[in-house]
Amino acid sequence: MGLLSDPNRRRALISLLTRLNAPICVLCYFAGVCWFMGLAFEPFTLRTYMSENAMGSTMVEERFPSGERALATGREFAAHKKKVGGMPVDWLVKTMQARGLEVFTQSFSRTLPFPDENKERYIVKGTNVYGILRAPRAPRTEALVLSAPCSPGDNNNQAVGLLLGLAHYFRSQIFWAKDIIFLVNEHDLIGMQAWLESYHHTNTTGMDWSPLQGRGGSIQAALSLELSSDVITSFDIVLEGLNGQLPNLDLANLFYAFCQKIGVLCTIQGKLQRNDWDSVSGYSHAVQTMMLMVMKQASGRPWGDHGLFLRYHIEAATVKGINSFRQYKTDVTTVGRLLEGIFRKLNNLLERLHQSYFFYLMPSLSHFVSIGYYMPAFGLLAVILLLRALDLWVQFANPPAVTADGVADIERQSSPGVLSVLTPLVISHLTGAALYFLPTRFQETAVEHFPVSETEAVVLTAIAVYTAGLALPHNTHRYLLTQLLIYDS
Amino acid sequence: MAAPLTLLLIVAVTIRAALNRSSLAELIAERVEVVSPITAWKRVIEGLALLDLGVSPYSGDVFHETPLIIYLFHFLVDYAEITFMLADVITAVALYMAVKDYNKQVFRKQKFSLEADRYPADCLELIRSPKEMYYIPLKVAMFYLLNPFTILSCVAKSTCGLNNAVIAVFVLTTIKGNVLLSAIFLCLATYQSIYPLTLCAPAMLYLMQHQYIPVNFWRASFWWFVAQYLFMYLGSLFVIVCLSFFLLGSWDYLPSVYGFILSVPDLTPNIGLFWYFFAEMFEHFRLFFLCVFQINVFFYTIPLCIKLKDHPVFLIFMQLAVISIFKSYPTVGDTALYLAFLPAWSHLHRFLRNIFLVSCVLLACSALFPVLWHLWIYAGSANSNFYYAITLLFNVAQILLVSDYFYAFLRREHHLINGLYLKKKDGSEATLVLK
Repeated sequence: MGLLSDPNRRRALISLLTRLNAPICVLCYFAGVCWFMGLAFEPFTLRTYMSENAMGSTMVEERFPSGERALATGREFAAHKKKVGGMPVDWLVKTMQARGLEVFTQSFSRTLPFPDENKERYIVKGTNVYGILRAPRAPRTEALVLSAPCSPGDNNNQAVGLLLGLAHYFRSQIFWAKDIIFLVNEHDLIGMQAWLESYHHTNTTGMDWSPLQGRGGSIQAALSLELSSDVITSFDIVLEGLNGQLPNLDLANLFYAFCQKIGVLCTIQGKLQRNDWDSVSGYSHAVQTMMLMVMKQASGRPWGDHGLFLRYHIEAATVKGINSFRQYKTDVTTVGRLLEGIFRKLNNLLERLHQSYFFYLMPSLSHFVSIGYYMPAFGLLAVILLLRALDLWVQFANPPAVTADGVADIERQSSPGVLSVLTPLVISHLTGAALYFLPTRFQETAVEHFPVSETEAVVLTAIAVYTAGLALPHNTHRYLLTQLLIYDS
Repeated sequence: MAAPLTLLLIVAVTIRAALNRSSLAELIAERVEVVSPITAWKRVIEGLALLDLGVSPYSGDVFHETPLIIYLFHFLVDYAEITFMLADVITAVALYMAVKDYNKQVFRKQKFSLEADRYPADCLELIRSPKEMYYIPLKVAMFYLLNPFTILSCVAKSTCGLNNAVIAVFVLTTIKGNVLLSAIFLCLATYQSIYPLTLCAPAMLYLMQHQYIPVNFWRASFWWFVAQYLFMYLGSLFVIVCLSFFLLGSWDYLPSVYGFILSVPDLTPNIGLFWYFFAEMFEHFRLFFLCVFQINVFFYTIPLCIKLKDHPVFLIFMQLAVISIFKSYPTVGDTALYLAFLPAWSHLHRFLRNIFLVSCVLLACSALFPVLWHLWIYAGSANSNFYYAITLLFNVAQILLVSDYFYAFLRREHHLINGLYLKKKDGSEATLVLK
């Protein structure tokens, strides 16, 4: 380790570091930002490709015929939903049983931390209904999930109808090697979380649910369907899950490959791909798509019902049908063919999707940037912190007037003690911990003693902690300054 | 100094008790960085259960601790938390008293050298004063008790805490000059994990200097003392081994404990270097690499003894560091033991070159261990290479820390002999280069 033990080279390096510190930091900052912006430029990205061999080259002809029947089922579902005023459990159970699935229901209830503003209720109760299509000739070790949320009002009726239509069609086919679970969940994420927790025998949220009576094997992949219109113009895929986790890139590749094959317009972040990457507007379109993905991941919340599957190491995505003002419309039969094709490919999987990337950004659906390409941008920004820290350390350890080899001048300058540096560090960590724990813990006591509502209590506690923290840097800065003055004099 | 020490002990016990009561205790007890297949509390409970059923606790490759431990916990299993907290307290108090005594001797030696005018004129600033050495024993105890590694190890009830206590009492008895007790405690430490065997050499060196026996191969008194010490050491080892045989009635603890430590059959990931190598090794090379890795632990004894024969306490520190880095199943509790000694060498701070880098790397690696474990085992996005990279980095940082302190120590000794401001023959300033 010549660099660390040779004093001449060390001295040269350290003097370079202290002299050029500010320019290098500024350069690193701009380099990092430019690198990240440049990632959306198409020649710097890679085209997507299927990494998993098992999903590669089977030539399948999709033959789903009954789109109209699916729409009719969807209308029936809508009527029953309106009549019951929630999830039509009995109708769903009867319909799924008529299609030859093993049907089970699960009821759940969750106490909300704040009352629901519209309805002033604290408890959300619901039921999930799911039917399992058992694989005709395979052992029941693996499963795939197709889910559609039961939303209030006029949303997602066609999705449930298509789900039931696909169930009917799949039942007549003999080549399924995995169980297929058709799930209709109520209250979106709450119902989905209850189902997943019960399926995997964990209870991380403290929800109340009834145990599942029927179960498939370990789930290999899941697709969540959102379809609210009879015809669509484009098909959108949503990848971002809880805490910004993404499914394997192969799932997006699969979706894109099938959209190309069937001839459906596919979008990501609601944006269609453009061909003019060398023009300014084309480039800004790609940048917008990529930054939308970054923002959605940064928000931490799942952007579809699929987001909760990812924690259990199940690759999942949400596909949404979008009906906008284009001329060419795609009907539900084609959508059904698309889903049939996707499921047949997923059926061929021998092991969980692991070949392709887990961390990526997509400026468009046909191009991606992997973590190896976007991490250096972040690394450049982190290097700035390291350089500043090294600069401060060098200034403390070796006052500028003497040689930088550890042999100091006659007047010993002692660095400020560990305690004076440790104190602001500990206090800032404690402030962070207070900000994390106090608002939720003291919500009830705050509501008792002060005339605020629950949501206001949380926000006001956070503001109070922030305001208290505002006083900190000033005091510690002054304290450190006086300490340094004492030592210098 | 009893009051600050008592306060420190109370604070440390409070922290451990609070963590034991919280829900974090089970989480910590499962972390592979804190417990190993040898030291895990879960395995001790299994061994106790087997013992209660009348079956040998070593059947089934579950329990790998010594019979004395299992009998100790046979009586103390209801007070397990208190036992481990007591072990930590004993370690801290033993290190406190040992370093206090050592400081007294260092200061006395320094006073004699000053009076004999053995130091060059310009290195007076390297001389240590009692004022700066006053708080060192308290800092040593604090470094051990408030080290997050130690706290985690105690809350997880890892038997590494007991091993640390025995080694700390060994250090205390050695520094006090008690030959018999030093041999007995070293034997207990070796009996539990084989590697403290290498601490024989520094113990002998120290005790010989304490009794003014010259360390010279041609002298009969040297060999007579070595024979005495080895007789006491091997004798007590023999007694304890036979005692274990009579306690359990069979010899099957020998392959389960010592065979396990030496032949490394269990490749659960930990913070050491063995598991990854041996997981991907072909069978016919396994014995060769096993020998290489195990010899690596014992190998540094002889060169270090030759170089540091006048400074046996620093040699003990180096040996402890080497053991805890290169042993077959290290845990963070082993790291905490040698890290506790660092305040005793705080006068070397000005000669240390890489301390900033090393501390940053150690902190970053400690934070990254659970992250990459989660990413590998639970999220499936990473694999064992990522976790081993962090393990490697952690061990490299530890090695750099130890070698940095070694360099600083030797450099200070060099300056004490040759003067602080080095001049070349023509009077210009010279720099010291380690080649």
